[in-house]
Amino acid sequence: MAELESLETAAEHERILREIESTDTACIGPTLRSVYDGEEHGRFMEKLEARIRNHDREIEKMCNFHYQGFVDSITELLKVRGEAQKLKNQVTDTNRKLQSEGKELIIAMEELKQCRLQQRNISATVDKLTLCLPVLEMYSKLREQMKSKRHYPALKTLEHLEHTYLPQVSHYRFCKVMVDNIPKLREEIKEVSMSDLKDFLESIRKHSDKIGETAMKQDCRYNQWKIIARIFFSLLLSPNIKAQQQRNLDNIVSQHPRISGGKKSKKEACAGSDLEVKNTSPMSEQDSGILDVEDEEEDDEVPGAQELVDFSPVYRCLHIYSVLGARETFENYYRKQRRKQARLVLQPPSNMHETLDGYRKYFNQIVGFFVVEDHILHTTQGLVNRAYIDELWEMALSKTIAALRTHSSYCSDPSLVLDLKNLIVLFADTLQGYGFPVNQLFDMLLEIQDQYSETLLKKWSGVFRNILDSDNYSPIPVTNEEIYKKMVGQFPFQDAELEKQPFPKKFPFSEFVPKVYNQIKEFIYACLKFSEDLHLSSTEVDDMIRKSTNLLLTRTLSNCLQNVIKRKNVGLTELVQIIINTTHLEKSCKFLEEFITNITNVLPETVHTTKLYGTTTFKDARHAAEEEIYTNLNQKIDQFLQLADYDWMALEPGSRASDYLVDLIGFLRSTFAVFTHLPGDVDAHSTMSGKVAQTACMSACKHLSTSLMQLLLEAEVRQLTLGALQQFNLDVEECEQFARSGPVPGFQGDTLQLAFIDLRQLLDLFIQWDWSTYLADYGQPTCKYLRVNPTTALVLLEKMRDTSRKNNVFAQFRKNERDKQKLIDTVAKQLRGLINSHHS
Amino acid sequence: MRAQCPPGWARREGRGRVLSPPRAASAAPSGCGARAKMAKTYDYLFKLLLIGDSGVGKTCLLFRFSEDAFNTTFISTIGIDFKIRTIELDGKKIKLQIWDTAGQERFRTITTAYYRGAMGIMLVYDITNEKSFDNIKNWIRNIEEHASSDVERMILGNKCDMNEKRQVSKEKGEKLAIDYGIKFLETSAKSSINVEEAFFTLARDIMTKLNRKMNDSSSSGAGGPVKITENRSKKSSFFRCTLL
Repeated sequence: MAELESLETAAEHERILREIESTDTACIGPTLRSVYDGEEHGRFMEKLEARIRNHDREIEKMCNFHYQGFVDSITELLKVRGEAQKLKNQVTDTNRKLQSEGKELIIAMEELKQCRLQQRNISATVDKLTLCLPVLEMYSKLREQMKSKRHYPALKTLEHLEHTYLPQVSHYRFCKVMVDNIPKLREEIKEVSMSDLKDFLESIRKHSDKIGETAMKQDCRYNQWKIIARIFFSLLLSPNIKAQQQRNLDNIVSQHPRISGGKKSKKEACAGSDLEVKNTSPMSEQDSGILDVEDEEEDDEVPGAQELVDFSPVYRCLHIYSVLGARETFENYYRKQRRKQARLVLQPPSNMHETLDGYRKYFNQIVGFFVVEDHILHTTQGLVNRAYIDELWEMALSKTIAALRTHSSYCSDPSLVLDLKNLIVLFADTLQGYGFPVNQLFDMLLEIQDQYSETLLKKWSGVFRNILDSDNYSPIPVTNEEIYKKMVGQFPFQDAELEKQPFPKKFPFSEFVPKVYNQIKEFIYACLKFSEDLHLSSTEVDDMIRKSTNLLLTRTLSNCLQNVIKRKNVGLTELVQIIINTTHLEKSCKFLEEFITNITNVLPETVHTTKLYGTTTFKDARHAAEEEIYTNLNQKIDQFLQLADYDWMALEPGSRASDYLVDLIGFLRSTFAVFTHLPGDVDAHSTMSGKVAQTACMSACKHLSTSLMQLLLEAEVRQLTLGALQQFNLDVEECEQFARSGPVPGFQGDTLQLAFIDLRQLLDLFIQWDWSTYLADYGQPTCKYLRVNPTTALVLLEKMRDTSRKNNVFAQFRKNERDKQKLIDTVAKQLRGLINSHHS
Repeated sequence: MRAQCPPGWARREGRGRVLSPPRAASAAPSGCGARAKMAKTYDYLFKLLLIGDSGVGKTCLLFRFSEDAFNTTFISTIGIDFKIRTIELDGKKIKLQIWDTAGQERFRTITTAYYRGAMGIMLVYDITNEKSFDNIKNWIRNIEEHASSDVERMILGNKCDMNEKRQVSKEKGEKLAIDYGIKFLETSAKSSINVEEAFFTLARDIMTKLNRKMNDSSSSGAGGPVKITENRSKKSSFFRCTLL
């Protein structure tokens, strides 16, 4: 037992020794503790002592082994120590040298560094400046452009500036200012260009007159060339032109297309034509007139619309606005302004109708307006469009037409109406040339045509009135062949018998016949003038002329004639002459027809042409004149009858017919003598035509007869005596004597005398006191007193009975008287019976 | 003269208007026989004649006098014409029947027939036409040949408004008139100078002559070619007396 324990303690000490050897001194604590905890310290101490001696031996062995090597090493180290000192000195020296050398370099390097820095800075600045400069340049350019009013480029610049340049340098303050300025500039440009536009609008308003005039002039010129061309062609076609001239004309005509282009050739052509036209054509006067106009105008060039007005403001403004995206605003503004202007232009001046110039100005302005619009339409894209112009034109048409309608109605001068028409035609043609529809204007011209013929009629009414008023109503005397020929040339008159007579002789009609005839022709010419340039067919012209002429004949001339005829104090002379004159005018109607046919080239049989109603006019006038002759004579008879001075109570008749009646018969006799046998006139036309004279005479006799009958039966004459009745009978006999004597040739038998038959039978009945026959035969066709009306007889009988009654007191004493009275009573009763039976 | 007028005369004053008082008188049972006489519009009828060369203005003078109007155009009278105008002289209504003759020679036969009945003749010449003045002598000879011897005459120098074209001086005209013992006036139908005066003078002269004649022959036998209405009425009252 004890041995085992000792073994274990020995192992434990071994382990602790190893642990002390291998661990750090700090950690020895716990190990020592375990030693202390065991009981065998002395053993451990021995073991530990053994171990320390082990290790001391080992160290002594090791030191003995390495000692030589150690001594060698120290000796070698001492040797290296010298060497190292030497090397150290060398290095210090080298270092010192290097230091002094490097100092210079460092300075240079320092300088270099500074330069480098500067260089970098400069290049950076240059870069920035190159960026900024264009901006500034642009801006100054912009300013410049603004200043010189080149707004569109300015706007372009602005845009450039805004979108390209400024963003690159936006961080600069000046840029910010610019950016802020841009909208203002835009606004400014907008305003300025708008004000330019306003100026423009104002200027076209001012110039539209001139533009219109120019446009019209161009059209007019074009028309003139057409006319000249026409004349050339007509000259060409006329056969009696010499070959030489023809060649010349050929040249000119062939030049013609070029003429309208080049001015120089025009002049040559004119000069040429002047030579030609002279003494060849009947129209030469007219022609040279036109050519003169040409020559006058030759010098001043006719400028076009664009040459008169600078349109650039519109284009510019339009560009500017479209660039600014406000194109629509601009369009609206422009159209609105122009519409306003159109309205102003279309407002005719109130005194326009007074002169042609008034109209001309008006038209010029309108034409000017549309020429400008047309130009705008064609030179801009969509600033104005067709629809807008059409709408304006529509308005213009209706307003113009309305204005013309009212104004032309004030016009009473046909020449002004004619000028107006030419102006309207020119106006229409000009605008048609610009592509505007002008049919309505031509329609309106037809209205004006009516008005024109109205004014013509009015004018000619005055002309006819003058002619008729100044006529002397006596046949035109001709003293020689020359005057005769001249007159026959003026008026279509042919009379073989008059031709044969020696000079001096007389035309049957008075001056007014050729004058009126020529005035009708003048009127026709005047009518024709209006139809020129109206683009009417010859049939229409013919129709129009005929209609107007018919109005002239049936209304104007007819009225004038009727007025003369119905004039107070118109003499028999005038009336008779009017009858003769109208007869001749009536005959001349067919020549007027021919005349119209000649100028219109419409054959009367080809179309449904209106006939001239002249014949009726003259017939009516003649009838009126005849009627007036009858009234006139009757009035004279009445005047005589007013002088009648019967003494109805006369017991005895006078020895002869009453004075007034003798005068009356004498007057009638001489009047009829004068008018049926005008001395010195053989021609049948020159006297009152037989029938008129007969009717006049018959009417006079009838009137005389009825007037006398009235005188006899007048209620105021209460009573009359047989003596008075016999005096009255004497007067009636005088009338019958006149009727029998044939104051007017051509009456058959006692036709004229029959006018007095009523009076005759009545007087016979009373003077012969033939009551038995009258009452017995009453109602029979063979009755001697067939024409005596019982009422008339009774009236007269009552008057005669009154005379008897008057002297009743004395009559009572006379048986004879009493019987007579009774007879009268009986007759009166019978007559009353007849009257009553008649009535029932 | 008026005092001689029978009380029952229904005298018309103016045209067709009958004054009621005389009418009432005539309706009275005691009314005289002249009641049946035609209601008359005048007291006297004077027939006057215008003669002279063609174109001196006879018709114009007449036109001026009868219508107070003037017509510039010359329309020569053919044959004969007349106008009636009633004037008043000394309270008497006088109808002037003025005959206007054609001056042209070819109507001479017709016109001379009217000379005899005329109570007054106007001889007219044109102061701008010497020939027409010279012819006055011929016209006077004509009157002496054809008209009644006691016809009243007067010379008129017409167209005195055209002084600048005058060919016959007023003195010359006056001298001629004095030579023949006739009254003279220069007239203008156009300017209405002395036209009224001329006709009134002639009418007054006729009237004076008539009155003188009636005073000379106190009986009712006055007459001659001239019908004097006063005479008539006298006559009728005379007849009434015999009847009574």
